[in-house]
Amino acid sequence: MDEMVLRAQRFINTIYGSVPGINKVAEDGITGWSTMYALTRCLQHELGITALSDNFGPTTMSTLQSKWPSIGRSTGAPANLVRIIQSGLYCKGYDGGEIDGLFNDRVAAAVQKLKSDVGVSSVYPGDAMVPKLFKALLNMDAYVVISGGSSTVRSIQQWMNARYVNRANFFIVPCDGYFSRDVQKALMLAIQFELGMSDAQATGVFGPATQAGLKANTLSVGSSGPWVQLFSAAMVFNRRDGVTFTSTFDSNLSGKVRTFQDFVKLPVTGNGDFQTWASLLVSTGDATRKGSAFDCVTEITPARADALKAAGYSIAGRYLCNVPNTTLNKMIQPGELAVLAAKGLRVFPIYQTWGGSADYFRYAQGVNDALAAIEWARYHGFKSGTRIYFAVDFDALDYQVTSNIIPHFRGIADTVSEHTGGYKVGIYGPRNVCSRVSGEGLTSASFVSDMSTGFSGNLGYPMPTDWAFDQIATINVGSGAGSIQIDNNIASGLDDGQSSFNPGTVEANLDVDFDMSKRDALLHDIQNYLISIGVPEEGGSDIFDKDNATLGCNTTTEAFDITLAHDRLITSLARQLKMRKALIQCPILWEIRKWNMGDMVADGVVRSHYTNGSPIDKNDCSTGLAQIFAETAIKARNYSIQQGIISGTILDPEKETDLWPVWQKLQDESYNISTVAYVHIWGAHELGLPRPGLTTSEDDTRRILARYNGVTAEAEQYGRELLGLYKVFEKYHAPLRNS
Amino acid sequence: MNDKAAHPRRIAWIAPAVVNLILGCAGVFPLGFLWIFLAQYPLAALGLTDREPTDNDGIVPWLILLVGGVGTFIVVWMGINAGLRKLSRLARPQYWLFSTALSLLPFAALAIFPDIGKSLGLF
Repeated sequence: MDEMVLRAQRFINTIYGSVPGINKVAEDGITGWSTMYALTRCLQHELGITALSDNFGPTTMSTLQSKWPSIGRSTGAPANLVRIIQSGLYCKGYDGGEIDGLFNDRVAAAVQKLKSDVGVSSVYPGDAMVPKLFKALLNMDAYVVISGGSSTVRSIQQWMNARYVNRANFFIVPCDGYFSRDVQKALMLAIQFELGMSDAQATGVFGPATQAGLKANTLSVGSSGPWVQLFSAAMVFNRRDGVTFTSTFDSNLSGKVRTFQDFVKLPVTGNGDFQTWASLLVSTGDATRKGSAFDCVTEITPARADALKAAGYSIAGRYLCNVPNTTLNKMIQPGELAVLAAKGLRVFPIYQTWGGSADYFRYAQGVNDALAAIEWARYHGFKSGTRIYFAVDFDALDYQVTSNIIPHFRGIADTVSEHTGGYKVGIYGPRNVCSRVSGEGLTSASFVSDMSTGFSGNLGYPMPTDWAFDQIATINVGSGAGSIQIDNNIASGLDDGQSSFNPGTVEANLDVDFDMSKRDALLHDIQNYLISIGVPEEGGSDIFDKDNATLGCNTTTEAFDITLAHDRLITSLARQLKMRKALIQCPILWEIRKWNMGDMVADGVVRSHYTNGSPIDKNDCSTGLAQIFAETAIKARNYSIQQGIISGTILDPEKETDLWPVWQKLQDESYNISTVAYVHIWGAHELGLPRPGLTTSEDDTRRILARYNGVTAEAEQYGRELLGLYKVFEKYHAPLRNS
Repeated sequence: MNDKAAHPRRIAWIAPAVVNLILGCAGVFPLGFLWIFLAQYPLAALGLTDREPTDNDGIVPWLILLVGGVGTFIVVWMGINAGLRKLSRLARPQYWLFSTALSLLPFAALAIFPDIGKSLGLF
C-alpha cells in the first residue's frame, strides 16, 4: 500500500465522487487500471468533455492540445488539473510534490524525470507537462526496466519515443525493457514513417505499401542510419543472441542475420532483405514463401498427391480423427496413408477435437485426449517414433497458458509416456503457447500457427526454438481432380513425419462412450440394485446399518454422476487395455458411494504422518476417488510396467519415499482411475487368472473385483456385490458396443 | 405441606427431561457411530457381526473418530447434566439414571421402531 497513491484515490473520490460518469475508486493505495481510468475521466471532466470514457482517445488528446498544450509553473492551469498530474505521478512512482494543485519544483523535477525515462527530453525540453506525456502518465505502462526486462529493449523503446513522438498517430510506448504487442505495432509504424508514409497512410499494418518499401530497402554490410537501427531493433525484439541496437550494419550483425535466416529457413544471405524483414516483423514472415510441408482437412487422393509432389511438397499434416458431432470429415481416410506412402509423401498426425477456448484445457482433458490420440494413431498404423501434434487453436493469453494449457499438456505428456512405446508429443498453436509448453519440457516440437498474425500469442513473441512446422498461408494447389486447398507450412527439418505405416489396428467389440440419453435409466437400475443389497440412496437403511457412516457424504446418485463424468477417460482406458469399462466403473462408483468420515480421517492421518511427523505410525491408506492404497498402486503399476503394458519407473512399495509421492498422485482423479485398471490386471495375475479382457468370464470378473478389495473373507462379499453392479453396467454397455 | 413440597420437585425434573431428550436426539448420531465401531471391530472379532468389506483402512481412523466424536458428545452430555443436576438439586443416583435413560430413548426408539426413522427421512 502506497500512502500517496491512497491520497490520490481520496482526491478522486472527494472531488469527483459525485460527478456522473466517474465512479468512486477503491481506496487501497494500490495503483491499478481503475485508478488510471478514473484519473482519465477526471481529466476529461476538467477539459469540459461530457461523454466520459476510460480511454484517453482522440477527443481527449485534441481537447487537451487546444486548451492546455503545456502545463507548467506559470501556465495558469487549474489546480485540479495539476492535482491530476500529481496523482498520476504518484501512481507511476514519481514524487508528485503533494496533491495540492501547485506545479511546484518537485512536480517539475518529476515531469523532467518522466520525460527522461520515456526518452523525450530532447523533444519536449523543459519541465512542462505536454499532452502525449499526459496520456503516457495515465496508463499502466512502466518507463523503467521491470523485472526480467532488457536494457537494450528499453533503449530502443526510448529511441522510438524520441524519434517518432511528434507523429500524430505515434504515442509513447512503454520503456520497460519488454517487447510487447504495443511495441511491435510501434516498430511497424516507425518503419512506415521511415518509408515516408503520411500520418494517414501509416496504420501499423504490414500491407502492400510497407512490403514494397522494405523490398526497396535491403540492408547489407556498410549500411547505416535509422533503417539499420530499426532492423537491429527488430532483431533484438526477436531475441537474437548477441545483437546490439546499432545504426551500422557491420559484419557482426550480418553474421547474426545469417544465423536467424538459417533458423527460420530463409535463404542465408546475411543481408537485411525483404524476407528477413518480414520474418522479423510478422508471424507469417513472407507469406508467399513456398513450403515443403502442408496440412489439410481434405483427403489426399492419388491425383492430389501428384499435384502436391509437383508443387514441391513432401510432408503432409493430417488429422487423426474428426470432431464428434460435427459434419466435417477431416480425418485420415481408409487407404489414404498407403497412397501417401506410395507417392513419397511423409505424414505427421494432428490431434484436434475441441480446443477453441481455455475452458477445454485441463490435466484430465489432456489425459483423455492423449488416450484418444494414441488409439487413433494405432488405428491408422502410425509407428513408434511418430510425433502427434496436439492443437491449441485459440489465442491463449499468457495467464491461460499457465492455468490451463500447461496442465493440459502435462496430462498429455504423462499419458503418452505411460501408454506408448515411442509416440512423441508435439504442439500446434501460437508462438507463445508453443514456447511456454515446450519450455516446461512437455513437448518436443512445435507446429506454429503463424498464419494468425493478429493473435496476441504471436504478436511480440519470437519463433519457438523447437519449431518444426511454420503455418503461414492457406493456398490452393493443383487443378481438376488434383485440386486441393492446403495450409502451406515451412518445415524446419526437426520433424520429417512418417514414411511407412503399420497395417493399423481395428478392434471389434470394444466399449464405446456412454449414451448419456440413457443416464436416467442406468441410474434407476443401479439404485434398485444397490437397494436390493442393502445400500439405500443415502446413508444406511436403519439405525444399525453400517452404511450410516456415509451419511452426509455421497448419495448413490452423486457417486453415479461422478463416475459418469469420467466416462470418456474410463472408456479410453478400457479400449487401450482391452478390458471392459464396467470393470473399472464398479469399484469407482462403489467406493465413492461408500466413502465416509473414516476415510477422510485416514487420509488426514497419513498426510500428517508425512508432513507433520504424526505420532500415529500410518504411512498408507486407501485414498482418492477409488480408494486405492499407495502400496497397491505401486505393485499394480510395477506389474503393468514389467508386462510392457505401460511405461514408467519401478517403485518400491516398502519405501516411504515412493509411497508418499504415489499416495499424493492418487488424489488426482485421472491417475486414480487409471490405477483401478492396473489394479485389476495385477489382481488377476495375483489370482493366477488371465489378464482381464473382453471375454473374461463372470466368475473371473467376480474374483477380480473381490481382489480389488483384498484377500480377506469379506472381500468375497465385495466381489459378489460388485459383480451385480457390473452386470447392471454391462446391460447398458453391451448394446452400445454392438450397435 | 407434603403436597406443596412434592410439586416443586416434580417441576425440577422437567428441565433435565427436556434437555436430555434433545441431547438424545442429537446423540442418535454418535451412538449410531459407536454401534458401527463396535460392529465393525470388537463384535466382528468375536464373530457376532460381519465386517463391512469396503472399510479397509484399519481401526485407527475409527478410534480417532470415536474419541473425537463420541468422546466430545459424552463430555458435553456430562457437562450439561452436571450443571443441570446442581441447579435442580435433585438426588444424584436418580438424576443420572433418569438422564441416561432419557438420552438413550431416541436411539432405542429408532432401534425398536425402524419405521420412525424412515418416516423422519433419516433412513
